[in-house]
Amino acid sequence: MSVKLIARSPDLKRLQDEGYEIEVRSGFLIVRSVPYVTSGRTVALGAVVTDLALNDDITQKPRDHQVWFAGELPCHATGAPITALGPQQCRQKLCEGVVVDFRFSAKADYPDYYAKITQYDEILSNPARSLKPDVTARTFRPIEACEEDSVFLYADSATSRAGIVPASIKLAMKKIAVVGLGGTGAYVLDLVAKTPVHEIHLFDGDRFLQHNAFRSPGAASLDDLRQNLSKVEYYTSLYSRLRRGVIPNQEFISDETIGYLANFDFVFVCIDRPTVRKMISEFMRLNNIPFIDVGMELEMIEDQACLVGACRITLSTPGKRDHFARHVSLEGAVAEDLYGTNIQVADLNALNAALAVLKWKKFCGFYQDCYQEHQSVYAINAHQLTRDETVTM
Amino acid sequence: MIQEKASHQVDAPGHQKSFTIIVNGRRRTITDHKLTYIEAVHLAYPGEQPSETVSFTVTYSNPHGKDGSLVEGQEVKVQDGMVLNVRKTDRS
Repeated sequence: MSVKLIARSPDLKRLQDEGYEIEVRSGFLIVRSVPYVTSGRTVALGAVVTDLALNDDITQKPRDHQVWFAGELPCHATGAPITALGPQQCRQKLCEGVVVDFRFSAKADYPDYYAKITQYDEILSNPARSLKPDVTARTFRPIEACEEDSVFLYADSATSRAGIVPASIKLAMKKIAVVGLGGTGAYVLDLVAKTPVHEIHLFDGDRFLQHNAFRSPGAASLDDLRQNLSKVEYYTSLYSRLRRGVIPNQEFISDETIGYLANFDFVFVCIDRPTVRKMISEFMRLNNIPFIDVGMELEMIEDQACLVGACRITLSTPGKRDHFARHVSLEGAVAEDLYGTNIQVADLNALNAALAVLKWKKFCGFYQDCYQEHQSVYAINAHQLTRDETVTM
Repeated sequence: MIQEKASHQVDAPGHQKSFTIIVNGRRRTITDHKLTYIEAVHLAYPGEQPSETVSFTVTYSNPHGKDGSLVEGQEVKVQDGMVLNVRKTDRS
């Protein structure tokens, strides 16, 4: 990705052609071997790092004038700090292999990354050159081609912009499954597709039909509907526009197919048949697999012509499974109730999915999880979110 | 059932005679000053029986005061205006 991206962006290409040691990694541009002067008046080499504004894997105008710097506090030839850089100490790991020490702020309206990088290079290198005339950041040292092992078809520049790559990599599980691609499962897929999970396996035997379209993420076209695709085919083709590793299984999970769920790192169970839920939860326990089961119920209050209901999110982990049967029905087939008639509640589906994915991210350590609640319910009419089955640390 | 159980509370000092609460979106008047998980399920679904394999999620909230949830064996103090939701939450 790095090589392709540099080749397609004229400003990065020019930096490379002029001999800068540039590398693109996790949405950051890293320029190494930039000479600067330390407070001890020696010449050292540092790295200038900026996030990249990208579209279609081509650089856009930089979103701000600031950069990060890996090295000591840069100084003038006299050894006095270069205050014009407005250096702020901020030691942090931006992504794998990139630890920075300072944030600089040399204000200017940089039209592209060539202008931005060369400006910072001058501020840092000029004092160094006054002490050692032959030093330069334009080393023409060959950089090993770094083809990034990314699941995305285009770089996730949102994550690097926000500076949360170290948290984000915690989500890079090898194999997760979404069982059931009804309203809630489809929104779970929508959210996990945008994380660095390597493989997302989809399990559902249904077809994608007109009534599904109104509680699905995105906007299905009439043409999409006419193709009479299975749900897993439809969603695989939709999300393969964004990423690799979406794997369709046009199967309902039953006692014959339950074995497919072995060896997953995490499973989202988004189904509405309690007996299947029971089978899956038992299988997860035997195979030591953490999972989240989601569900909701809605009811019409006839005389008020409004709906009441609740969403439930239940986490089951190798460390805590005893609560599952207390909160989740494991018996009986689907009843013919209001929700069973495909009432349109995409907002609740999306909420239920978002709460489930949020919980998974807590399980991964992406978000802090003080109480480690394994059970939560959102009651609509009370606007209430509960926190139960907590684990004290 | 609920009225019978609470009858001894009617004249107790500091206790109301009845409470207006909302159960699954519908206004209800009860005289119990405490509600157990099972009673909550029966208020919402008369005749239905939770079991080892059939669960209901029971949540309560108050305009002023504590919110929470109930499982088998737990109970909550009833307050005027309490909103109670009893759900099977099985659909996805």
